[in-house]
Amino acid sequence: MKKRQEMAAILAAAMTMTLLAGCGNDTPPQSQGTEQSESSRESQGTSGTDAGTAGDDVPTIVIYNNSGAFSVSGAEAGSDESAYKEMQDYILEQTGVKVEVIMPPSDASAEREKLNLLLAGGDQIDAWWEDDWGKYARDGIIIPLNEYLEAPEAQALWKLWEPWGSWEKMTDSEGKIWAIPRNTDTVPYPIMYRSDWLDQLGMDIPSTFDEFNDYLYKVKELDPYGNGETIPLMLEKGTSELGILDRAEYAFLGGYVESGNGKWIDETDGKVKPEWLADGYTDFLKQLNQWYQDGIIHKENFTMDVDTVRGNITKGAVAASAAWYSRVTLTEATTRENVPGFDRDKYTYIYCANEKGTIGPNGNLMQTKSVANTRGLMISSKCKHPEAVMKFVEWSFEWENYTTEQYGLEGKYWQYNPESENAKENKDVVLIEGGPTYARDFLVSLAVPLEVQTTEYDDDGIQEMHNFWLQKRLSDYQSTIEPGIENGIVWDKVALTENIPSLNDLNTYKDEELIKFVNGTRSLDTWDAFLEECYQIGLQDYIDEYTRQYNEMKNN
Amino acid sequence: MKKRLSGETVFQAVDVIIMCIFIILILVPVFTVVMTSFISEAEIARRGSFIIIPEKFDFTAYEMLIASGKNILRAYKNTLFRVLTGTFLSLAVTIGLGYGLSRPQLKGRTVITGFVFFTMLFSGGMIPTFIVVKGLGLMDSRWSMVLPCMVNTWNLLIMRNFFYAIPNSLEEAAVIDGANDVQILIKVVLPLSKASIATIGLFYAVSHWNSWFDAMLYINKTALLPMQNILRNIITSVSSIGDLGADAYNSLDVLPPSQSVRAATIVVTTLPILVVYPFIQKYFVKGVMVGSVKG
Amino acid sequence: MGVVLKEKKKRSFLYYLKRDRFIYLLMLPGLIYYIVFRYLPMFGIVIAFKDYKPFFGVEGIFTSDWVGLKHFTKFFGSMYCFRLIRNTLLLSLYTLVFSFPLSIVLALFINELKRKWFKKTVQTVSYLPHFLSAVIVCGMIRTLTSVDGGLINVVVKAFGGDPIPFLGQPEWFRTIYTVSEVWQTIGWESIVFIAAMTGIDRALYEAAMVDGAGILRRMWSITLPGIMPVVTIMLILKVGNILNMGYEKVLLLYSPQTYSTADIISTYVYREGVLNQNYSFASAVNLFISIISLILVMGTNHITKKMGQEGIW
Repeated sequence: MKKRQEMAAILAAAMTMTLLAGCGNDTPPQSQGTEQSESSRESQGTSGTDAGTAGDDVPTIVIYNNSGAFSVSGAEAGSDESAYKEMQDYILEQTGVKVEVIMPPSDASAEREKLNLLLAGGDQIDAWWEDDWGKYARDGIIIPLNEYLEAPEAQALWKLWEPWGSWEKMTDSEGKIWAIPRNTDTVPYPIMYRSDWLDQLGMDIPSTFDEFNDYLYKVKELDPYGNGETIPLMLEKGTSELGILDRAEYAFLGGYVESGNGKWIDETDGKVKPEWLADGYTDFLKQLNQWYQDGIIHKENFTMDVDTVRGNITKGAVAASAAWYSRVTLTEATTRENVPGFDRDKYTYIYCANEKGTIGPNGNLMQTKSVANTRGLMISSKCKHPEAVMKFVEWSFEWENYTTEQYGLEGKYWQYNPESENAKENKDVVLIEGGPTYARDFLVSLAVPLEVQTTEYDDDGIQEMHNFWLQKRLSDYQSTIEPGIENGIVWDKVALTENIPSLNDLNTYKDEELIKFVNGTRSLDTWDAFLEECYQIGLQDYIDEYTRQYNEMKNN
Repeated sequence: MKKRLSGETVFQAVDVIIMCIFIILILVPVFTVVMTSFISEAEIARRGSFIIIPEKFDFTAYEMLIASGKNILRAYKNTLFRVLTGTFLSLAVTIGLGYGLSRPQLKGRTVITGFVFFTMLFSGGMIPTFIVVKGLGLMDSRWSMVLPCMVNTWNLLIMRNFFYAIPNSLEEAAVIDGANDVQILIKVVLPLSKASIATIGLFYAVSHWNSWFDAMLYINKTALLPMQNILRNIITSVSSIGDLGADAYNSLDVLPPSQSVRAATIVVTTLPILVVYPFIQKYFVKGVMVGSVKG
Repeated sequence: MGVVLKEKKKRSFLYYLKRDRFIYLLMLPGLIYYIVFRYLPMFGIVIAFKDYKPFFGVEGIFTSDWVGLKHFTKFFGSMYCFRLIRNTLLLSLYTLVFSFPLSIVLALFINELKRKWFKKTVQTVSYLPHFLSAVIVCGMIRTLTSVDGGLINVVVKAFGGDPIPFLGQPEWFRTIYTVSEVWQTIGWESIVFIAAMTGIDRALYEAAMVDGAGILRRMWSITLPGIMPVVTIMLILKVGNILNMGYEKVLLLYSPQTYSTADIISTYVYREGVLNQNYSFASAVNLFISIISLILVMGTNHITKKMGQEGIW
């Protein structure tokens, strides 16, 4: 009996001890020397509590690399330790900077939560990517980069981004530059047509809205996919942040509204207004509604997720797509597989588009240019070695280094195509399989300006459609109109949410009603009533705040 | 002459039929996930992912998973650690606390129950919890997946109720025999609670197996991430999820892992834990012979 | 050392502490856990009354500006406040009303199965869906309800109906959500009831059989009362969670077309809070939910005790 009691007491004590011991244990070692063994990276701490002062006077920087680098098949489990170490050493050798990378989780909300926690927890995080530098800049969390960007060694970096309109989106009204860009101005919502079906109908690639519309109805009648399941026109829903119709607006609004998909200035009162208040917007809705009624756009188009959009295209059911271009270009090879008897000699690619864009009912081009957003790589104000971060960044934004960061070391993971004569000039690269997994950890220069330089060919020696689009069409701004006043404007999102108390409600309401106009559950006759309701919710605040910000920026 | 069917037999027959329908309802959608893992991308694109019989079996997805084998194994090891250590610790602590809370004579029982229950409804939120975990030096340690979620209040209260349900007569008998509380726990309560302990153990094990969020928050080193986090990276790849992914990723133009790879990952991550259940089931003997324990 | 039975007069707490020291010792690790990992972080609740941003760090929790009830007024001032609470409650209630009794029924059916292998199979199969994440389940729902070739619409067509774009119609959202929740959870939730059934004294059944009670009669008057304590506690716990719906699944299924029935508190907070890093707002809404849940739980607990069942406290 006594024994039992003792045992119980020991058990309880042991449990308590484990609990406490667990808390004390496993603290990452604070001091980090140079370590070689494989397992030591485990304890070496990408968390890098103290990494800034690591030995040998080598600055160590920690980057939360949420550039999207890991979002590629096979990278989900991260790199092998050896591959990680190898790249880290190579970068150290090249730049004199030791870089540690924290891999973000893949879905965007978790990725943000983790970033927030890392920042809240006070760990060493020297640089990270984010959508909006404004909120960080306002609170002094990040540093302006002008000083570094003016240095001669940063000129290549500057020049790389300049033609893409990206720096403007990184600059505040005082001229301070807060981040390294991630995105560029693009032409992402072209109308793409099935080459083979155009031929079947005996049509050329449409260049006007009427021809385009004609094609849609003819292809609907022809039903080349069969079973009545041909989808004449595939669109894509927008996100809750930008609005449900945002992407459709990019593709078509220019043909109805002078200022396209963007804020515009109303001459009558001098105020900045959203695109859905512009003249002609109801015509755009009317057209969408017409298409919806006639079965030209899929009944589920505005509830479809990206996978389904892509799936419909790849199974070969879509006659014309005005969704984000890569839904078509990236899957082109699979789509071809699913279209029996597709003659590659005749068409090269299964989808084609009019290089010059499409003229809309109002005589303007229909597609609106999509301007770069404010996403960028920012450097923390707590960073002890901003110059080291910049050095690494500058090194990364060079094509060959970019390629190395993407695939791994040259000669081990990639080489210039030995079968091609001008491989080096064309930047024609082939991968070498079989090395330990390298998950693109160090790739911070994932960017269109570098991506377009590489040339990729498929097994038949034909340039891959996606690559072709990036190189030839993505920056073809001639086929689009300007997005109202949005060019070079950076809205202060923090001020927007603060000064428009009903912003979220207004967006919710607007999205909910707009889609009703499209699918006919609400008649366009009630448009004025709809606007009235919006004003009641707070549309005036919205207009006033945008106007205020616009004027402030113009005055500076 | 026909024998009259007894109510018992009729019920059995009805029961079996209903359960068969139930199995089909559950299994068919799950089965399509398994089948999806054996189909080529082109076939999925053509036929949609709700496929019961593939035209052609294709093992590419599994080959791809095997190719990244070392990292998957590494993740499995982390999961195993977390499931084994976590379940053991959780169970031990939950039994201790749950047993205490089930003792009618214990002073402060109601207060402690309230104290515990309160945390089910109110919590400090993610950031403060993170700061506590970090302050304890648990960041980037396997213990961060085990300790912060050690007791689940839900499981604790169920455990306590299971202890309640044990007939008082047995305990009273033990008390008269001169046993103290600890002896009652070991000699009377635990043997009678095999099914409930197995159940709560299963709950803990499965929740450890399934959880990814804490590891995502507390672990920066990919080498320490458990399997579920890898699975999640595969199935919620930014390029595949509409509203869970930000618009910023528009410029991120890579294809997500194909649906067959996603399905194959689910198969690979789910199979092992499914095997556990039949083992636990042996404790689920119907109608414990209460009388027999006494002797 | 037996339990002292004779005393009647008041004793000091120390006396009880000494008397039940082993039990307290057993409980100690658990209590330490609750203090460290559950109560210590509760200082974070104050951010509901502040304007906190994560990059302010720990200090920020204390140093950021007090804003009083700003975030609460923002939530209650929203024109959608009522709709959000209604949608959350309804989705939750539907799920509870269907999945809770069904999981008990399932447990009863499984419990009565005679063939061991079949019983094991049913049980293992029943909790399979628990392992599928929301992303996968939502993917299945999309395929099943799809207008072109989705199984449900194939059936609709076979009966001569027009295909219905289910996910685009607000009136269908609750049904879709509830059915998928029931599908995903009843097997898992039945486990706890099955376990409770094993704890029922077999002698009771034997006695009933001697009395000639049929199988349904035995279920009704022995099995059900036998698992009642577990049923009540599960019910109370579920009521406590009724407003606490995660956003992931809804987020993956809804769209502005279905906002009117599908937009719930957590998705609204997601759009307002998570996307804009507005932790204070999210925290305020959570605090509101917690308080309502507390009231609900106390009510349910009170009622169950009135009905002669063991409550939570």
